Amino acid sequence: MSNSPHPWQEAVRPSPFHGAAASHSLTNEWLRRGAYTVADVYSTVEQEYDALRAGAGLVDHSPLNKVRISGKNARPFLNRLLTGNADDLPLRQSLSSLFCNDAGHVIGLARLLRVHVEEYHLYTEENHTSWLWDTAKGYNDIQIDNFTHDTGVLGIFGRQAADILLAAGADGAEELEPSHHDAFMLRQARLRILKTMLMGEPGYYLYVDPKDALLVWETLMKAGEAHGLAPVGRRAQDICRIEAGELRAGTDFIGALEAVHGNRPRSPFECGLDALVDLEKDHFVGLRALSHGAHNQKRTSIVCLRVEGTEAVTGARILSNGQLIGVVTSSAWSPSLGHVAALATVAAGNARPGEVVQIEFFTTNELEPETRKLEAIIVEK
Amino acid sequence: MIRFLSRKSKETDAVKPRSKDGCDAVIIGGGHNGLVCAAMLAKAGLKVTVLEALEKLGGMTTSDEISQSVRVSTCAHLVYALDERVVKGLKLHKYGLQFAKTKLSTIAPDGEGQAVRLHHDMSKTQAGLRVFSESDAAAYSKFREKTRAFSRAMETLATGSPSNSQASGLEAVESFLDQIQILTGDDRREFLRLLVSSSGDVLDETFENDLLKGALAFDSVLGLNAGPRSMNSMAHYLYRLSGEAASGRGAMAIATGGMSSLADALSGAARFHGADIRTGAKVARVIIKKGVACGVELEDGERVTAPLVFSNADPKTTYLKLVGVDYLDTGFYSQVKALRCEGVTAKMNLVLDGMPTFRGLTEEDLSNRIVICPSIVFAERAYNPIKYHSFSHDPIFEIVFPSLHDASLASGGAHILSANVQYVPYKVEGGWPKRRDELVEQLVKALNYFAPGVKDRIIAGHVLTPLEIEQEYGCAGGHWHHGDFALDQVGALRPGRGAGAYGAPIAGLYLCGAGASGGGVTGRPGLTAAERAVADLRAGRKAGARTL
Ligand SMILES: Cc1cc2nc3c(=O)[nH]c(=O)nc-3n(C[C@H](O)[C@H](O)[C@H](O)COP(=O)(O)OP(=O)(O)OC[C@H]3O[C@@H](n4cnc5c(N)ncnc54)[C@H](O)[C@@H]3O)c2cc1C
Repeated sequence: MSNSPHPWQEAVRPSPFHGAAASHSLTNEWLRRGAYTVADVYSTVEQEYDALRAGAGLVDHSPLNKVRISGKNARPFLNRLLTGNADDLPLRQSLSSLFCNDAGHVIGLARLLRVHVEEYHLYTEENHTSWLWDTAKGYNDIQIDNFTHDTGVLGIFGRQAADILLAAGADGAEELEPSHHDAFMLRQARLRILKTMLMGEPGYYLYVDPKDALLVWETLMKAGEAHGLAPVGRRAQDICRIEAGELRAGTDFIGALEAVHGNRPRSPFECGLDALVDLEKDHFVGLRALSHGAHNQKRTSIVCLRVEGTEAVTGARILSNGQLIGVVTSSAWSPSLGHVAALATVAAGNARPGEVVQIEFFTTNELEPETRKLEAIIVEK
Repeated sequence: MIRFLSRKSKETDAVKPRSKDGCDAVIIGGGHNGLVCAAMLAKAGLKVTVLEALEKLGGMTTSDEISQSVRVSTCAHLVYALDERVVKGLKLHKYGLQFAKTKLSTIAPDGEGQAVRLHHDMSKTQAGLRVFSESDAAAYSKFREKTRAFSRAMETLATGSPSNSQASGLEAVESFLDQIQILTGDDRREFLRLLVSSSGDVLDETFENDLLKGALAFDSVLGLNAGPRSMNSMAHYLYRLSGEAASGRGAMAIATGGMSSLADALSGAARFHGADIRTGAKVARVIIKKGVACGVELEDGERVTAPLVFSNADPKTTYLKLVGVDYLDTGFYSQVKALRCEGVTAKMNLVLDGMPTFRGLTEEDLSNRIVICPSIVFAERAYNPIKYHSFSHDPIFEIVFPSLHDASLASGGAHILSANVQYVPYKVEGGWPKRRDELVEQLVKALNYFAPGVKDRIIAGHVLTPLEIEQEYGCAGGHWHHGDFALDQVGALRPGRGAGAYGAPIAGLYLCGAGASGGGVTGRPGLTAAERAVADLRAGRKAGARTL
């Protein structure tokens, strides 16, 4: 097992589900995510999107970074690390949260599972293990290890997800409350299942021993045949994510540890993640900065846009009355909304729903350079 | 809310205490700075409680009986930087502070019969220097004038803190630059150059004579974990001069009755103004609620609540032990943990059966301050081994004979040789228990070269290594300054970026000891902390909660 905090020291490798995923891939389009390759598209984006919205989608989330935090001081450590209240997280429950640096800028988003009295699992989009180690300085009796390669993560999301799990034989999983998790057996595989929402759909994360990965995948696919289950690649996931207004670290905001320019990192408030910050807590890293008056004055905010036309406009400039006010960070044609949906960062004060803005980007028309201008409306997130 | 009277208010117009049993401010540690802070706050009308871990007050500014009827100053022995505002503001003479001798000269022998003598009186000094070098005699007064002028900028740099308690690295540099605006044009450039220079280079470019350069180099490194060839040594020299300037007398003095008489005077003044001072009261932790300090808990579990908490303990002890990791941000914690605070100054007190003689020195010379550091190279050689956790066979010394000026310190013809010695490592290869005797033997042997026969006069002795200073005075690393005095550890960067000297990141918690802005028996950190807190209270804010 590797404890390396630096993803670039690791070779890219197939995810534990790769064998099964490859057998479903008609396109052979793979994408690097974290230390793994995962499918970009299996069949067509449209089919995968429809499966997710109408039946259920099977998603390989193995690239998530996984850290086990255990020992007597795991609890105070996590309560200090995370902006949410991790102090009284009950066993078998989870917390969606985020963590900041001293300046109150978001480093990453995280999901925390309490698996034993003194053992927690922390899942993040990017690898922040070195920050966890830094933050753990000063605690004795605490172990922090990165177990990214010891666990495969499969997501099953969509309105049919619960029925599929039941049909697959994960007895009892259908009774999980939202954000609760527990250990289950699926055929011979022992795994942990967490109930949650993702991409606007209810569903489950399954945390699987890599040796059982193929068995679990095949069991679910088989049980899902009658429920419209299909494996869903990154492209279709992205559409659903944007429709649901879910931010992705590194895409819709730059993590504080990644940013080079001093003004690039964002506070949770600027990310619209106020709900994940508990300012009433005794302390967490960044609390002092966040309770400062200055931080409540947001410099920027993240908004959802409805853009005219059919093309993705990621990276486009956003203007209001001729003034540059922001940039589109994620965008995709939304089949269910019938327009291009986008996430964008705009200067604060320009985020009123209903406001019309201009989108501008450079492109070519039969190899002639062209500036494209479109209209967009800020919509409620 | 505590109400304040204007600064000009009568001492007797007490401000109403916050509550009947609680106090307005609790001070962790009764070192001289904690006592200054307590006295100043009490004078401003606050109800103050001082909690000192040891049975005696003063911290490193104290004296003790080491054998029958022999009293020595266990750490600091010379007063050269005590702030006038403290002495006058607290009327310390009324509480017993007396100096047995002031305006000590610095006598630097070379061990071969020659000596350089630096007096309070410039023309007398120059007359002596002319024997060695005409040009050095001329350069010396210019050098003193220039460095004295720059020492004020150095003081603002050390004691100033950014107005913005969340200052980033860049803002800290900006506030640093703001603070040197008091200089103009060429002076500012020269000051910035000196800040990053080694004293060795500056002295080499200014003077010819090795003995003179050695004596001045000594002052640049006394108390500092660096040699005269190290970058920070010139800044440290300027810091030392800023203390001399603030003391008004601009000269060194020996306190009558030893250093504890200063602690006694301070506690007397503090008590007069109503402070409650307790000894044998070791604080185990600072109580923090919702990120705000609101009192302390003693080791025996007793709690003392107060809306303001001051810590005279060093930054590492204060934050890592008394506050604790749970209340600190990751970056700040790492910075405090990384503070370099291993001391290099050891203290040696020898009781002699009579006055010794030093090669080339007169009897009159011995009533002054003797500096054994015959050249820059000598000091640098003494410094080298410390990098490898060892000590030199030829250390550098600062020696005084307090008993010459104050007969009460030793009786029956005995005399006390009080010496600050460098460089003695905090951690030594092989471990201190094993190598302590070897150290003592080396120190005596080295001393015996400059004062032949002194070793046969010793009837008792007392040596404190930095490790023992840590153990004795609860100061992590046992450092003179409670943390090395280096450009990355002063002003807005001390003890961590954004903490800005006094305004610690925890609301309501102020540092008030040497760790806040620099060491020495100055009283300045205690005074400044009290002033800041009073200003903060008047403005309706607290340390760490400073609004932008
Ligand atoms: C060997 C040596 C020689 C020196 N010689 C000189 C000199 O000649 N001239 C000069 O000007 N300077 C000298 N200095 C420097 C000077 O002594 C110090 O910088 C200065 O005394 C520091 O004062 P302070 O009040 O800030 O801290 P301290 O004197 O260290 O006082 C801190 C106090 O806090 C107490 N404390 C710590 N933790 C707790 C706790 N948890 N609960 C309760 N109390 C606590 C300690 O017991 C101590 O009394 C010397 C230093 C050394 C080490």
